[in-house]
Amino acid sequence: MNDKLSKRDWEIISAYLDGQISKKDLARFESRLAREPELQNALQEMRTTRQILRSAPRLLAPRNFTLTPEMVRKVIPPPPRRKPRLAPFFGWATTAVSLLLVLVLVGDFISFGSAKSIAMDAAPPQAPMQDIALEVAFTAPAASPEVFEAPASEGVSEPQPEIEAPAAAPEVAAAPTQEPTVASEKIFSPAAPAPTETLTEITAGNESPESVQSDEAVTATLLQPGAALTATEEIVAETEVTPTLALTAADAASEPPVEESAAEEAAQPVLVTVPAPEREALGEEDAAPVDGGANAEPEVRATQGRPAPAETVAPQPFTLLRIMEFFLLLVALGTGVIWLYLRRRGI
Amino acid sequence: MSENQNKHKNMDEITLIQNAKNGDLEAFNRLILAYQEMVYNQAYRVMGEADAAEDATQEAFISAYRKIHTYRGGSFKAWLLRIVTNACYDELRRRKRRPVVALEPTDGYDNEIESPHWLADPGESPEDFTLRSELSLAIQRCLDTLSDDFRTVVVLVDIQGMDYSEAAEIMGTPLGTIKSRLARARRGMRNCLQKLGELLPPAFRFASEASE
Repeated sequence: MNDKLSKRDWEIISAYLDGQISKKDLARFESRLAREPELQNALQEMRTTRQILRSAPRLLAPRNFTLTPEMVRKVIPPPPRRKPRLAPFFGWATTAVSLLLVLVLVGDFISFGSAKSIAMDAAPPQAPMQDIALEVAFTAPAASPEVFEAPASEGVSEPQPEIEAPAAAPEVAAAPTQEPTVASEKIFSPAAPAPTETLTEITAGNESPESVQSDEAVTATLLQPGAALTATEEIVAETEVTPTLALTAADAASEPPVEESAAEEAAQPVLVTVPAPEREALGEEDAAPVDGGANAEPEVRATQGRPAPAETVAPQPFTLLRIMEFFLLLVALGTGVIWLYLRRRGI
Repeated sequence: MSENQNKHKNMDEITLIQNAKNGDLEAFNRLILAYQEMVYNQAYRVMGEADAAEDATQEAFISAYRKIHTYRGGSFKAWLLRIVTNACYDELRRRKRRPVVALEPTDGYDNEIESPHWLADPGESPEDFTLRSELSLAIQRCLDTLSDDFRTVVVLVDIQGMDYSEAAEIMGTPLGTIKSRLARARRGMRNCLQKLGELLPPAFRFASEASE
């Protein structure tokens, strides 16, 4: 046997026998054939094999295979009725739920954008707020550093992304004050007290008994997601009695260094005049000039008679949306996995 | 067969195919009679069993009649070979899933005794019958050692006389694949036939053995 030959050699020998070899290979093969006896033997054996195969006796057909009309007409049995397949159902369900999820997400995004713009509208401009804080602080020396610290940390510790005032805090901290660094540290202090405690502290600074109600309202509001600004606004709105605290609460996050200058001029009572845009930002606060907290009672009455701002209830739909999105995501994933499984099993 | 006879035969074939396409079963049966031996031989060499080859042949003709509208000209023989090759592959696949026990009688060495009906050739001498039978058995035994693809290609090219391109079309494989498969199949046949040695008729023995 000529097993020393390569597979390629055997292919060339086979093709050579059938005249299926290229001219280039033919010249090379014939030159090799002339000097390699092994190749000659292999060619001879292959030729004999081919001859034997070609000499294979022609078998007679055992019978005629002609067709009858019945054979041709033979109806192929209809395929067995297929059971209703589950995979397509889950496929469509996955698609539908995914589409719904996308729609909800888009809706959420749009409503989130509008809510954000509302928040932006409601957020007071920084410069006027700074003025208010300055002026109010003059009339209320009782607004001790603790009071200033508390709202600042409250504003920052609230984990809601809607908070606009804390975001602006570093800019305000750069204002001409003497302790900007300390204020910033306070703002970003991770060990800030809980919002409820902070607000209670604020309320404690306010000696009006009616402010307890506003404290509860604010606390409840702060528990809602995305309510930081609303809460701040609420504080301002509900504590008109003591504009010092209210304005400080609203502004403290962005104006911590104010206390320094406030302490300097504490002895000079000043009539606080809130600019028109500022009043709007503070939840349509009473447009009348605020007298440094001297006549608190009438203001409290006016505040209590007013309905709560609409923004207080607004966060609930967002929560529902989040739950719905999460639910839809779970359903889409579940149906998708079931669909893939059933499809693989051919069910 | 003269050129005129061939031309006449081709014209007849074209007419018969056209009539068969129009639903003429008689025309198709005439085509069957012309090609049944070729189709049966292909089926037998690939399947290795008379009964299986018979079934495959019948299935192939039924399938050919139903698909006659797909014939677009060219070699009708190659078209039929393609159909019978597919029928054989289907049957082989079925058998691999559900192995069947051969009902053919066997000789004392577990070799199947070929059904005599297809070997019967009136007017053939007993010696010729024996030689033909021996050679046919030897070839079939060696073909059975090959894999399905190798066996099919060597039967198509060396027994049915198809060229490489026709074999490639019938098997639905590239020309290069046909080339390499044929070389390996022939090499396998050579090894097997050499082992059979004296079982082969003297005229078909390899030179190395004949000289020994």
